[in-house]
Parts: sequence; structure tokens; C-alpha cells
Amino acid sequence: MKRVFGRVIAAFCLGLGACSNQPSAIDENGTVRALAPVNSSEKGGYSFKTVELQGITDISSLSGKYADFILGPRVAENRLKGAKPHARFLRKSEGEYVPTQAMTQNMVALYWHMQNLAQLDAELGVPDINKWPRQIGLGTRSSSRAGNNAFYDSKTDSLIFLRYSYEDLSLALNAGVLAHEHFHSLFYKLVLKAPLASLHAETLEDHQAQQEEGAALAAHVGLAQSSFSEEELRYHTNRAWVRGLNEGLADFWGWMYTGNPDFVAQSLWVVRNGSRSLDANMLMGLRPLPSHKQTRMTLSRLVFESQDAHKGQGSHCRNLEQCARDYAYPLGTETARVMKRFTDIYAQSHQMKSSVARKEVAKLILKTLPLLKSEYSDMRKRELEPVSFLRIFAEQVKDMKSEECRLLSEIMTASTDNFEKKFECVEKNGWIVQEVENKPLATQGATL
Amino acid sequence: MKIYFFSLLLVIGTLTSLAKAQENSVLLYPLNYEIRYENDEDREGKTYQPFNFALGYQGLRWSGLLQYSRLTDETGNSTSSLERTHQDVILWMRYHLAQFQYPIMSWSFLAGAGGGAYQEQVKSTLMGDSREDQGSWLMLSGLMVGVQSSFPITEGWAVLLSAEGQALFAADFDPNPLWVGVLRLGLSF
Repeated sequence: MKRVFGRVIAAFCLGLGACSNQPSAIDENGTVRALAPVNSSEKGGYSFKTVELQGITDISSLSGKYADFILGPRVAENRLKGAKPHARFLRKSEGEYVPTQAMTQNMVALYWHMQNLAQLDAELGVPDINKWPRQIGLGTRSSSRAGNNAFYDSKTDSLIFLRYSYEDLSLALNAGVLAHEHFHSLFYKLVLKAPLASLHAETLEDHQAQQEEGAALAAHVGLAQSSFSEEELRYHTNRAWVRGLNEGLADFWGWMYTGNPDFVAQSLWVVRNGSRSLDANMLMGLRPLPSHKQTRMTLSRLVFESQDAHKGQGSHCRNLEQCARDYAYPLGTETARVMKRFTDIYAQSHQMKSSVARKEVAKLILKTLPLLKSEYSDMRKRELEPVSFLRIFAEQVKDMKSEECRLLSEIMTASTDNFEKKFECVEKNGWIVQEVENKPLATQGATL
Repeated sequence: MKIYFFSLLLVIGTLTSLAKAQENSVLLYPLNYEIRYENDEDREGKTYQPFNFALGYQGLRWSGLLQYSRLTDETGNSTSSLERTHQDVILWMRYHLAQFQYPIMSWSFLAGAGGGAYQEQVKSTLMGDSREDQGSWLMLSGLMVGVQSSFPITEGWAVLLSAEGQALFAADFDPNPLWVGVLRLGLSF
């Protein structure tokens, strides 16, 4: 009897694999139909949609042509390393995959957006800037309690998602956030990558180091920061601007991709006061971009105030570098608002749908970025002016209409400290923005 | 000392001869405590306590047991959440490797194998809107070992206690196999 029992068990074990498998619903092109929450309206609406994921090579980790997911990643040899997540689906009789766990749902949405962003890159004329599949780190643990963040890691050329603990739309589902982070990879490769690579210091390793350092230094906020060398201040002012430009254009990318000007607030309640919205403040209107001198003064003030932060007052950055990093976001928002206003006018004057105009302006930005590389090459000696970005951008607009030109010239004039010069619109086979001498009132024959 | 030892053997021997195996009886396990180890989203072990119910039939050496388990878990947050319900049905064929009988109880070592099916349903909620999806029934299989005790209460009726360890196999399980422990309290008649 025992021998019979042994044989039954042995036969059963051999059959386990065959019994347990289910037929795959991936076709020969690696196409999988899966349910995902995706953005469905430009007002920030999200709804369930059955999307087609292409180029899937492994459904159990949802990896394929466009994304390669790593769970709780670490960095080794400039790549993310770690375990593959296990995608949990139920399969409906029609072959559709439905995620049964939140992380799997995030992975489906991420894969779909990466696929769309790859197609968008090609549409915008930069198909080869990024390498696919993109590495994406999920469930990343930070050494401190900090989370609720996502960033582009330039060292590993990957997107990192820290743990999300808020009750809002998860960062991994937020299409605008994904486009924002995707833009950072373009900016890095078109502008910052060697010799300016250190400007994008947001790497997973740095991030974790900063978290550890932050706890230790919290009690010493702002100490020993009362004086800086001229070069140091110039460098960090430039750095704030370049970071601000990177953040601002990334926000523009999020809006361009989703049509929602307040996409960040859908995931981060701290900016629900409109501070990151691309719609200009109703009361303040569109503001000029701060000049180098103004940014420098703001940074100095923030650092000075940080010395009182440990008393519960003032700003909360703890050194010049961090103040420059923090200030990049408001700087970026102002930049993004200018670009959005320009796009809105561009859509009207060219009689285009907003979605088409957004892509046209995105193409202009992509033409502008490589031209910034030489402009930004010597950050320690030159004072970078935001207006130079606008000037180079304006030069890329070949069929500029008068309304667009007026906006750019007004913003550019208001964004410069040099009162001897101003920007005007001139019609020369179409409108262009031209720098002209700002004559004193007396020479213009004006009387008081 | 020798007399005590002799007396103990005598009592055990007498009682053993009086005991009866609960053969050819129906097994009903309405109260079961199951603990199941699955990997969560971070691929770290998480324990679940599924609802578990079992019904079976016992012969002299073999018993068959039909087991039903059901568990629910929820992931996500209040904006986007997924409520997964997993249910499985397994028919276990168990061989009673060794049986020991006493007047007030009998117990046996069990080992067995089973086959069945599982199904998952999910309720997906996004910004207040919900939808429910149901997957197909898929095959699963398993191996088990355990012990079963039987306490006769009246002629033909006995209270059953058992403890089992199970390994459940299916391609989608994480880990595969899933490790399951079950404590059962039931009746045979």
C-alpha cells in the first residue's frame, strides 16, 4: 500500500507543472490587453481603460520593449539592480489582464505611458535621445521616512519612485508626473550631460545620502552659512536657474502630455494652493522671470532666513546648495507659466487645437535645448540670465505671430536688469523679437 | 517502580483494544483556522487568514477531503484601490500512514495530494468609480502532511482535531508553492 501511495505522489508531482499553467494571452508581437487607470480628460480626470501594451516579453514582471521594472532598487555599475516585481493579474475569459494589486496597476500604467512617451519622442523629432526599455525603480525605500517622491536618476538613466503614502493619486499613476520625469531625461541628455552632469545631482544614491544627512543636520540649519565667495554665490545662482528651467520645462511637458495645468497637485497636496499650477495666478498675473541679480538676492535672503529656521521661523533650506535647489521649483513654475501662456496664444494665433499647439511648442523647446549647452558651459564665471533662454527660444519660432512676439518681448524686457536695453517686436518676413537700446525718456522728447 | 510500569502497560493495552477507528464516516470541518503565506507587493511574506471549510469521507486508510478557502485583501489608497478576493477549491486524497488507537481517542499521520481550481475577483476603485472583474477558474494542485485526532463522543460520532501543512502550486502564485497551515475542528459520523 505504501508503494502505491508513493507512486501516486510521484505521478502527481510530475503533473504539477502541467496542471498549474494557464495559457498566455500575449500575441506574437508581445501585445497584451490590460486594464489601467489613465488620464481621460484635460481637467485631470482619470478613468479605467483597456490599454494595449506592446512588446511585452515577460508578463510576470511586465517587462518588455518600453519598461523594465526593478523592485526596491540599488545601484551597481551605473544600473539599477534588484529583484523583479511579481505582477498580479486575473485573466478574464476574453484574454484581458486585470491587475489585482496596486503595484501591478501602477506597472501597467507606467508601461503604457512609457510606450506613449517613446512614441511622443519620435513625433517630436527626438526618437534616439533615450534608450528603451527605461529602467524604473518601484517601491524604493529611502533610508529616512521621506517618500512621496519620484525623480529621474541621471547616473543610472532611470526613473525612481519612492513609496507613496498620501491618499491622492499615486505618483506612478499620474501621467503628468511621468511626462515631467521623462523630460528630465531629455534635458539631461540635451543640456546637462558632460560637462554639466553634476548639475543634475538627483540620483538615488545622492537622494539617500541627503536623507541621512538631513536628519543629522536638522539641528544645525543654516549655521556657518553667513558668508560666501562671489564665485560660490554666482555658481549657485546659476545652478538655481538651470534647475528651475529644468523643472519648469518638465512641468510644461507634464501639461503638454496631459493638458492638465495642475497635474502635480493631484498627487501632492502640499501644492494644492496653486503654487505649482501652470495657470498664472489670478491676482498676480504672469510674472517676469527673475534676473540673475534678483535670484541671487532671493537666495541670499533664504540662506539668511534659514539661520532662524531652527527657531521655527524663516526658510527651511539648510545651506546655499539646498536653498538653490528649493528655489528652483518656484523659478520653474514661473518659467512653465510663461511657456504655457505662449502656447495658449500660439494655439489661438495659429488656429490650432491646444493639444497640437502644445506639441508644436514642445518641438521648439527641443530645438532650443541643445543651443543652451554652450551658453551654460561656464557656470562659475558667467552670470546666466533667464532672458537668454527666452531669446534663443524666440529665435526658433519661425512663423511667429504678433501676439506671440508681444508676449515674449514684454516678458523678456521685464526679465532683464539692464535698463539700457529692451526687447521689441520687429516685422521682418514675420515677427521677430529684437534687442534694442532703451533710450532715456528725455532723448525721446518726452516731457514730465 | 516495575509494578507501576506494568500497570501502565496493562491499562494502555486494555484501552487500545477498546478503541475503534472512525472508518467509513463522513468528515465535516466547519471550524478551521487557516494561515497562508503569500508575498505582498514588495515580495515580502504576508500572512492571511482565509475562511476555510472542508467536507470529506474517510475509509480505513484513505480519506477524501473537499476544501474551500476564501480570502480578501486590499491595496492602494482612498483614491485608487484594489480589493482582491481569492477563492480556491481543492479535493485532497489523504493516506493515513500510521494510526494509533486508544479508548478515548485515535490519531493518525496523514499525507496526501490534491487538485482543484482557484479564481480571483477584483473590485477596482478609482476616484469614487468602481468596477468588478472576475477571472477564469484556473487549475491548482497541492501536497499536504498532517495529523488527525478523533475523540469518540457517542456511537458512530466523534470530534475531530487536525493540523495540516499544505503546499499549493499554481503558475501565478507568489511564492510558488504557497505555504499553508490549517487547524481543523470538526465531526465525523
